[in-house]
Amino acid sequence: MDDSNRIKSDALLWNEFIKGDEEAFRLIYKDHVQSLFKYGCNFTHDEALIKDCIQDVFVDLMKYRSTVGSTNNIKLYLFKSLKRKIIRSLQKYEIYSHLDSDKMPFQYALSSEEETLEDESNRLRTRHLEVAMSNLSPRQKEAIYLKYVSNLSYEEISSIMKMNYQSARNLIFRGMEKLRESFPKEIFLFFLFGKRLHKYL
Amino acid sequence: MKDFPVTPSNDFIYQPRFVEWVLRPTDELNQYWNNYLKENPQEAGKVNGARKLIIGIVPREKYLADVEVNLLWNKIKESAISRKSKVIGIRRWSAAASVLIIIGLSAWYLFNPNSKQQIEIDYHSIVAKPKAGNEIKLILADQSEETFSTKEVDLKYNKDGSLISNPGEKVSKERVEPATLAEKMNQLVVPFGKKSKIELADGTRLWLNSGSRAIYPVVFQKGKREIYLEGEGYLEVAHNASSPFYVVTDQMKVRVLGTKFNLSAYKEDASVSVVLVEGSVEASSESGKLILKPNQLLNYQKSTRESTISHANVLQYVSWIDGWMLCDKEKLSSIFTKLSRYYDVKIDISDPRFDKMTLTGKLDLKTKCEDVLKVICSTAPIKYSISEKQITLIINRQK
Repeated sequence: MDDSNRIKSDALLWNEFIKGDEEAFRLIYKDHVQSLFKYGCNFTHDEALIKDCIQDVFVDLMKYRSTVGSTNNIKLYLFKSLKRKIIRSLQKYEIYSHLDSDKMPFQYALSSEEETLEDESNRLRTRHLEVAMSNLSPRQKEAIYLKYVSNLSYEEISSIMKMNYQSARNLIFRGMEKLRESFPKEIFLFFLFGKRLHKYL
Repeated sequence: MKDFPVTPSNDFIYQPRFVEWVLRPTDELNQYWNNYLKENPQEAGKVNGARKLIIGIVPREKYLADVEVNLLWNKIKESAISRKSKVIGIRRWSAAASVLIIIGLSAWYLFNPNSKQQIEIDYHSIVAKPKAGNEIKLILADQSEETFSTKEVDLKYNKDGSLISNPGEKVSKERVEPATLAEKMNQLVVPFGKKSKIELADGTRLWLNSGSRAIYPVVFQKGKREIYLEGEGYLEVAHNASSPFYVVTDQMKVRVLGTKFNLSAYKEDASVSVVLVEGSVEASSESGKLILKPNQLLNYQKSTRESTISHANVLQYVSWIDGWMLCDKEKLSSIFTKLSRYYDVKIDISDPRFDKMTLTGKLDLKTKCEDVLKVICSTAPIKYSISEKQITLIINRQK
């Protein structure tokens, strides 16, 4: 679905929901619950807390349905609202009491759960990336995550991260260049050709 | 990703069409990039590098299991939507999952009190091993044992029979010939106070509650899937019409083609119960055939060999997966029995009045046992005292 279609269908779905259509509400939940959960996992390991926050997001949505206003970007709306909830819940714990959203830790853990058949070069690559990733700032990590994993646009990212468009672009560019530098070029060239690309060639 | 105006460099990793192709390929994108590579063979190296980098930064993430998505949705609805529309909501939910409907219609299950003769595998000889120990124990086919000191264990069997535990760690490195693999049985023993989750080789997911054990093959034989269960388990059976799935317990044999249900078969309990979450199910017993629908509870009384079906709040039976206990006018005696299993403590419930007192509400099992008791004692006229591993409950005053 391209963007203009997405905007149209989002606006429609949202309208239905505001008018009181339960089915629309359910669809919104179903479409976004997984990506919300995954996004939340970057802020804390406490899955119960993430689930509680997701629950709050949707319960609030229903509660304030008459006053939420319109949106043509449901995903953005939900991501922002989940992030707010998670920060607020974490602030209740003492160690996070002075947390402000700019310094929010963002974990972005590349999973260590490798496919069983993956070869040595792949494991090496993941390790290199993990080291490189750990050298990025939390903001860089979050921006890259939102861009490449959550598939958001620069405008959307700048809105979630409360920064302007150009800063969001720069943040992602600098981060990606750092990752690329640490990438062991020679090793993957050969392996990749045989393995992943053949599907598409 | 619509925005691709001025990239800092004309680099693949910043091109939305390229990123889309790597992460969410479509036929159209495949064609486009294959053509591109044919026309620009000198770019192959750069393309590969960019692909690897993008694939590399996408983490293998945790995700919510179907049952968790449903539980969460039910919680949202409970607090957000009026009771009146609740039933409709559930029906709509399943209507959306059209795949599940197909599974549901074809799913049926049968239990037969005389099924002991039909059990080909002698599970009791496998079970014969003592249950002792406070740790979750995995008994491999060669009788070697792995113990886990954690409160929960998460196992995943791959199609080739290899095993991954609590993300990452590989447990069994034994390489077995496929022919013998199907006969290899593993056993997971979960003591009181712990719980576990197993993803079997066919993709079926099994949650084991405290004080339970499951025996299952490392990979399933063709055309037949069978596991043994003692205690309580929640199953999401992977659909495979050509290979029915059997769950064997001492009193009951459950046959499914693909559905979601909770099965409770504790040796010390007077009854065996099945609660159906999804699917449509047929149960046969000496008293005839019974149709079990979602949100229904089948109770098989061991002493009378009678089974009854009643309406049930499914959440009440499956919320343990999530670490909650939902009670709806539930007898205190039953609540304390569950708590004693969950926390592995002895609770003295000999006072018959516990059978008459009921509790409605939600208990958080993720907190300490004492905290749960405090909650109960704050609403019921009960006092508790703890000594070593025994908890004694005293009723304060006549209710």
